[in-house]
Amino acid sequence: MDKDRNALFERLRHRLEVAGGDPARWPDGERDDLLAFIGRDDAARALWQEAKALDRLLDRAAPPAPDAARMERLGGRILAGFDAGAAAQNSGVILAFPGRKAPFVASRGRGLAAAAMAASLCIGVYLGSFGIGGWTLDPVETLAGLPVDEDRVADLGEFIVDDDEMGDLL
Amino acid sequence: MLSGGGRGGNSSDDELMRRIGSGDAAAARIVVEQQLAGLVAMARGMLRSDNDAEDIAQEAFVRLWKQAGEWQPGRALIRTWLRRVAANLCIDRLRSQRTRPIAPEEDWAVAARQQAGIEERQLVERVNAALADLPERQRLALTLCHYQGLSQDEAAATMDISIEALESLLARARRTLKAALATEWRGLLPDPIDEE
Repeated sequence: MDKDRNALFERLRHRLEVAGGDPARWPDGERDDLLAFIGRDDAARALWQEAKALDRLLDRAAPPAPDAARMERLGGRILAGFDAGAAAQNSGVILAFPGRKAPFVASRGRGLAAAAMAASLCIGVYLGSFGIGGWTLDPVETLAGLPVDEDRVADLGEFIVDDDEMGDLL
Repeated sequence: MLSGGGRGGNSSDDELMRRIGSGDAAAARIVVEQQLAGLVAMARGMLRSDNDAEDIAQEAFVRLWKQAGEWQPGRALIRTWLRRVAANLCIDRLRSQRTRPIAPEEDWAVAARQQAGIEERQLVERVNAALADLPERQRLALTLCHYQGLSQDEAAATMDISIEALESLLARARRTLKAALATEWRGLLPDPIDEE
């Protein structure tokens, strides 16, 4: 009898340590047995009261509900991030040219990436034909015909490449 | 790599992810509306900071958008995947905070304390301090199960551990808290006379 009682007490202790004092959070197969045990055993009832007291203490430190307006702004930022990513993927726009602060503006279409690669290849071949020693390399932008002044975004308009013009570069 | 650790997926989640992978903004909005509140609540519970929780939530969604094209149908629930990513980010954030000065408390924590009486404020501070002292994974397990009300199955799936491992974390967390806050919880025991 004591052995059964001790085993049940340990089962109760384990369940309280894992799930706390709320019987709704105990497994369906254990709940009725444990509640019946609590009902007839003083030590079991005391242990259950301690678990419920700890639960109440933890609940006192629960974070308050978040500000609704703040959550709405967060949701907006998250969706804006999705929209920007999807738009960039669909348009083929390069959002930033390496080493530049200003974005490189280009028309829609996937030709821009290929144009940049082709230009890089041409530049690389040009540089390679002269070797490296003794030469001061100009910024890539000047070699590619782009303004070095990164603030002169308006000047980039002359470098817009349409898909129809791509054929001239390849 | 997106997988749910064998916890099973959901056809509507799979369809949403397929649409998101195709750039469908409406599908992205649905996922945000369904998942954001729970995700932020979990991160707030772990980090006790609105700013940090929002950073974590935003990063978790960014990762979801990036990986949408590789979503494996039937392998995971979006909710579980997001929570798992956010939970790992929270743990990383907590570990990094152990080595740098603690930032000034968030407005909501300060405001809440200002509204409460002195004793209540001190009580909450002691509980928060005890929670902060828990190992990160015990804290996460307790946050998921006690504060977020997740079932053990859901919490174990989020942490990608077995039920037994989860129960071990929870039991150790509660034992530690019970010892650390003995004076505090004893003060909340019912008066024996009330039970007669």
